[in-house]
Amino acid sequence: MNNLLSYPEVQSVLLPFVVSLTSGLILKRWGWCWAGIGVLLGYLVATLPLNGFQFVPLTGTRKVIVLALAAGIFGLVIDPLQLKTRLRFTMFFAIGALAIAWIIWPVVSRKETLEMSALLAGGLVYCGWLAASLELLRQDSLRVASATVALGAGTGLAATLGATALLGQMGISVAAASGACLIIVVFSARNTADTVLTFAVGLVLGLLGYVAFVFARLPWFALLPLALVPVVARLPLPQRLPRILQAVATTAVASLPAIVAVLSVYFSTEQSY
Amino acid sequence: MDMKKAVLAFAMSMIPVSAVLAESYTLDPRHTFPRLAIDHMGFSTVYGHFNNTSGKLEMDRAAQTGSVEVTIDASSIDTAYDKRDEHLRSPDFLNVAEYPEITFKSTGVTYNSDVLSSVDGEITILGVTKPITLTVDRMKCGANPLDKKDTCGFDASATLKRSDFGMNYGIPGVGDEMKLMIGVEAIKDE
Repeated sequence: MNNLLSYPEVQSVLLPFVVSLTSGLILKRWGWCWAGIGVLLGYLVATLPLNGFQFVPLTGTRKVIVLALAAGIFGLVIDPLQLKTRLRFTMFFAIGALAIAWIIWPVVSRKETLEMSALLAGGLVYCGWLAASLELLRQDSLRVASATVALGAGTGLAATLGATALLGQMGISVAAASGACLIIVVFSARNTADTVLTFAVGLVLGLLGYVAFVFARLPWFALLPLALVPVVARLPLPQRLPRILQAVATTAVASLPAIVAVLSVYFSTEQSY
Repeated sequence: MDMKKAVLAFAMSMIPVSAVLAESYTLDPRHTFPRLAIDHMGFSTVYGHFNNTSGKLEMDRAAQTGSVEVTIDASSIDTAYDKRDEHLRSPDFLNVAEYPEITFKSTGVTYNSDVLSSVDGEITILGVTKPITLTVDRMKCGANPLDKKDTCGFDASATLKRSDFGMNYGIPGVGDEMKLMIGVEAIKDE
């Protein structure tokens, strides 16, 4: 069994998918919180073993896991408060910005002032945006799940090509878990997404992308198309399409910028394993 | 002899002989290369070395005491394959952005007659410090025939588990056990 779990495909695709699907189906009976929790559980089940269940010393990668847990709990607490979209967007943006600053500060603080400022500013905008932007799709959980599938796969594959398989696997595990969530969404009447899915999952994906840029060799320009995924996922589609085709179409459209990101990394780095 | 001189003479006499005889050396980065060997999927052993290393060596062979301090620039890993080196620098392995240095500080040395036979110490990798014993395979001190400088050198090795330092990625495909070998040359401080 342990041997089986050591395969990246099992660890980062199959396992999070199954966990997310199972937990989603079970939690669905209890209502509003199921989708995001399922995805988060799928992500954690894949990433905790990858990090050896260790949190000391608290590396950047481990901080992402801690923040995923904290954001999940925060999402559960904030959801019943029914805050206005503008307030939620602002709050999530600020938290995303603070989160990336906490993670990268030990590294960027050793840089020259100009480089440090640029890295910090880029991180604040990128992570703030991805932590908050899925909130704009909140009314359509199908679009949110499609966006997290595309963003997770794009971030994961780009990070892997950018020389960090660990962060790559973490991103792909979010995509796999989101895929399971998307399947449940397709076959359910529920239409509004929960904060754990819009905020916590968006935050994790933003952090993974930016950490791969600062701590590894993910080119900065790969982050630009990735940041467009939540925007592209909003593009209108024919409403008369069956729900399953809507899911396929939304995921395909949302994946376009992710594919651009992956290709940009592929062609900018020497791939000669 | 006035009082001040008497106190000074007494104080001087209290300094251990070993401290007076301890010789201080600086590691020669051109001839000091920590190397590592690690299993690759059971097929072969991959070797690599670090290109930038610095440190100090203190020895008193008469008193059989000494200390070793080594600082390795983790980003200088070189396995003769750039793509792999990039991967080794990433958070998957050495995570050089967050932990740019690997350090070793001795806590004790053991001599066999007048040469080092082992060095006990603490190695810090990825921010995790663990005790380690380096076995000294050979040692020589004397004047370098080329520049006539007093030089000491030794080869030492140890085996460690990278998972002990939280470097879990790729286990067991990429071996957990890692052999660390270091050839040290140090030039006596003027």
